Amino acid sequence: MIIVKNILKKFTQGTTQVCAVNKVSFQVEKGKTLAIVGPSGSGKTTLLSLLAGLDRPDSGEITISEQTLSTLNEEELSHFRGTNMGIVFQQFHLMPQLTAVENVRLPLDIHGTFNAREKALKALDDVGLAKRADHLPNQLSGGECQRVAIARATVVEPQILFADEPSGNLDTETGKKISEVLFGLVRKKHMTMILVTHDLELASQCDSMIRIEGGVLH
Amino acid sequence: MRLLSYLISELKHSHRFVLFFIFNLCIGLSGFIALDGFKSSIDHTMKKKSRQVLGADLSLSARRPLESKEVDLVFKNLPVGSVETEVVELYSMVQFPNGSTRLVKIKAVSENYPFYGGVRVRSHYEIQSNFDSLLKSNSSIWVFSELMAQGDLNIGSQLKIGEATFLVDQVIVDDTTSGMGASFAPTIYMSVDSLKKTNLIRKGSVAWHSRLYQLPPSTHLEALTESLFRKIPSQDIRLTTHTEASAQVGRLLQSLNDYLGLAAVVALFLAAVGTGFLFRSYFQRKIQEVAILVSLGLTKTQASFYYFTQIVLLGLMSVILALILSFFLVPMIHALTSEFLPFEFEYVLTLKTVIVSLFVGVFGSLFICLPFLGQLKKIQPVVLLSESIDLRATNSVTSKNSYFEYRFIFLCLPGFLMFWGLSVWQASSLVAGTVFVGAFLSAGVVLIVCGSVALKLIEKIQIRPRRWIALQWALRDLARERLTSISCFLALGLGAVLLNLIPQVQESLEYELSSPKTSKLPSLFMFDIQEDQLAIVQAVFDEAGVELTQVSPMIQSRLISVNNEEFDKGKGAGQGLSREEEREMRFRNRGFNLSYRDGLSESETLHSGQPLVGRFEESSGMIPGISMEKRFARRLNLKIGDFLKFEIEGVPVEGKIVNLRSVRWTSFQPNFFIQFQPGVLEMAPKTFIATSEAASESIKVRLQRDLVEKAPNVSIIDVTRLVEKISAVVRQMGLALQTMAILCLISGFVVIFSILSHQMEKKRWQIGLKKVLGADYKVIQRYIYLQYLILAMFSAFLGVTVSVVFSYILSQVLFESVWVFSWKAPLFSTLLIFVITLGVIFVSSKKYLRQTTKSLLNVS
Repeated sequence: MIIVKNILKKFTQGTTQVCAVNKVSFQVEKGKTLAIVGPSGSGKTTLLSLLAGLDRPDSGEITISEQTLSTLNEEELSHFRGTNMGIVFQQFHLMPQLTAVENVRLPLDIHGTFNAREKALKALDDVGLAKRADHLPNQLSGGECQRVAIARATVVEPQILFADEPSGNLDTETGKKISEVLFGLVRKKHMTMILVTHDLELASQCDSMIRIEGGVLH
Repeated sequence: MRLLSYLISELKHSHRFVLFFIFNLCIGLSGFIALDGFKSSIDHTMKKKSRQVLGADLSLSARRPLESKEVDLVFKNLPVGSVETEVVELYSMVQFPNGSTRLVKIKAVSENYPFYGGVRVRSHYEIQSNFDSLLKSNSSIWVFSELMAQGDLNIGSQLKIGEATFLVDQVIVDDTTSGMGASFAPTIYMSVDSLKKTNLIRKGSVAWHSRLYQLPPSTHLEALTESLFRKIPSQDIRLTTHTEASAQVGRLLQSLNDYLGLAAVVALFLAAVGTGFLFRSYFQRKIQEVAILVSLGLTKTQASFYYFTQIVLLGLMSVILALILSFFLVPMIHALTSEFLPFEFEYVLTLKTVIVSLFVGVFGSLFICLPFLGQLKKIQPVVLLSESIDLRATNSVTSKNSYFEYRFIFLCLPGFLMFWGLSVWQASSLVAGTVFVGAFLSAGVVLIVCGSVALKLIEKIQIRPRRWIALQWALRDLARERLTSISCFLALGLGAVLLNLIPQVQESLEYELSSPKTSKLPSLFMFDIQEDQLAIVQAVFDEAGVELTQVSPMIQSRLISVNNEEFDKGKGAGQGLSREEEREMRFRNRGFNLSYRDGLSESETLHSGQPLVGRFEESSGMIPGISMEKRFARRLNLKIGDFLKFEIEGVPVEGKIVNLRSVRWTSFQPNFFIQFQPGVLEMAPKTFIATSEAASESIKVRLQRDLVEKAPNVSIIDVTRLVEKISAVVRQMGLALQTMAILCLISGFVVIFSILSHQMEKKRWQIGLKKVLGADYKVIQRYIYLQYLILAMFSAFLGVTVSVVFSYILSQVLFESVWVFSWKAPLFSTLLIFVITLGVIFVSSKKYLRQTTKSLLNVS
């Protein structure tokens, strides 16, 4: 379960302060999916970065699986993220020098998990890419790269999956396929997912949706 | 373990960076390691052979006959079981059977000589220490093989030395005790009794009188030497242990090694700068990957460890390669320095060299990369998200807010301290090493200040015509991207400083060591002329129609007190002294030769104070004036106004320093550290030194022959021959330095290449954007060429100017030598930077200009 209470995040732009997330509160039940929608610059990416522990709020509290993120130091937060969360990025962010399977096993290796290769191959199989396991990212299409990224995000079997515009860098057809893979996996593994998108069709596939504008929930 | 395989896979993927990193560091390290290996091998050999070099454990020596009370005082303080022997060494002329003459070194030995080592004679293969046949005969001498050929001698040939004639009994082919002097004057061995027959030793003759001691093996030599040193009242008696004796043999090599060491540090520093830039480019490309890893749960500590391991691995590979390369370089250094080493040595890769190499290679690499790695803390995976701020703006380690931040400067400190430590260590001098590093820091400050001023001026330049748009862009980018321009300017400028400095200082050093072409050198230099022989010598020269010049009196004395306080003869010999302390120790623990002259000679200039004017009159009630050589005064901490009291044959003589003067020693004129005002020392026992400018070789030969016959104890140095020998040594030194300068050059190339490649990579996005906006190929090309050529040429010009100024300072402060401007080195460095800049821009810009606009814009 994710509980967000009154979080506030401000940035300084030049000499003025901008409130990117203003006193936002909500909660997501375990195994449910939530879409955060809003126009560009509305604060949805900032909100996602706070939820994923990639950034810290100026005030307020985020609790994930009974763990309050603000009580963790940088190292503990990294560890918590690595074992409890998976992140899918819009631009895939694969390591160019590593093959698909090596990219997928990366988080397992970071945490010293046994049978990493087998688990990674299984994750690749889950996204329908087992045959491309030994290909480098530059030998894969955009859709395939995003499947590898999804496999990498889910290989540690995280409780929560964060997806940042997962189809934003793909054509419509490929985007649809990717969303199918993503939602299929979330349901199969009973993961909680928070999805950031401005694609309302994609957002509608989630159990619930919140709209953010000017840093405030509507 | 798996991370290690990622690390290797990443390095494999970045093979260009890995190759450049290793090549660059390896070049920088190899000179350093080879030199350290060379020095360690020599130290190793010297330690093994030190007793053989002295022929004893300890020696007591003076440039006057030792008094029996002095000899007794030392001997009774030696441990029971100690044995002594007497040795006298001096330079003298010999006359061959064919009438020709030559300067030789006479070594008169007595019973028990030597305790260790010895000579190898032609008839025996082994080194022998049995001099019985020489000691038993009053007419036998053993001569070096070199003399046999020169004098057309055979066993049994007769040689006239002083007032006696000797028979050649043995030919020496090797001598464990011979030092560098052997190459200027070959040695002749005879017994101390035989030496008396020659009548060469007279009052004031230049000769070294020694007692050598063999001590029981259990003796603690350093403690004994220290206690003896305190007990000996006179400062002109020197105690030398076998380790000090072997160190003295290699003193010339030691000085060369100090200088080569600094050149090696420069090569290493250049390599470090290049490596730093290479790593910066590499690391910037890796920032996004680090962000990904952190988003996957990698902690910053793990990320730091990951890159530290990578750097250590690269450092290790560089060290291993450099160590292998050193096996080829050491024989080269040996060949280049063989003139300065009186014995053969075997290159041993000592544990110390390996440890030093590992330390410098591994820690050096870490320290170089540390300031960039420090930016790891700033990397936030939030930048990976779709609507986050532009990666280039937030993560650039050279971006406006981060590059010059305190943290970066703080993390540069370990590298700087290492550079400073290495410089001090290589120069064996805190002062020299610090001056050296200080010069580089100042160079950096000067370059930053000048660069900032230049950029301010560039900003004000207004270029209107449309056809000059490329120049307008180039100047605008230079001025607006201020920090990037200054950092590039600083690196290129420092590269130019380092590239130019070594050849510039080398030119001055060579000029100083070789005879100055502008001044006329004497052809003969005579010493040990007794007072009663002066007229005879004058007559010989008059007869030959040659002028006897610069006749200068020389009086041996001891310095008793300075400003009525007993003169401190120093701490005595010891290990681990800096070069300055060694020099001071040598200057304190010696006798003093005095002279007197009215005014200055042509090789002297007044540095400070009043000139010595007129003759001293005792009735005036004044104190006689003393003129002192300025470096000599500095080393003994003496200044104008100090009162000095000397003792000449038991008679005290007082004087006051009234001026300090500089002496050009390479003029080969009779010059002295201490000159008295005329009217003080005329009555003191003295010998004379004189020079002559004999016109032809035949007249020189005749003069030498006549002098040996009429004044056999007078020693004559053929200055022309000596200068030839010195020139050969200088050429050899120059070659050694040039070899090290080549390493600097290669490292410098990598520095310039890395900086410009990095800059071009950064320009990639701008090129793409300009293409999108409709700029044609030629305009973009011109804009890139102009921007970097302006930057490179300005930094090269300023760097070269700074290095010329620093070479002057280094010549004056560090080497205390004449400074000459070499136009070749600045021109070469500037041209090199120009050509490399042009080459790198050509290659890189071609690569980027040919790329599609889409790929140019896709920087993330």
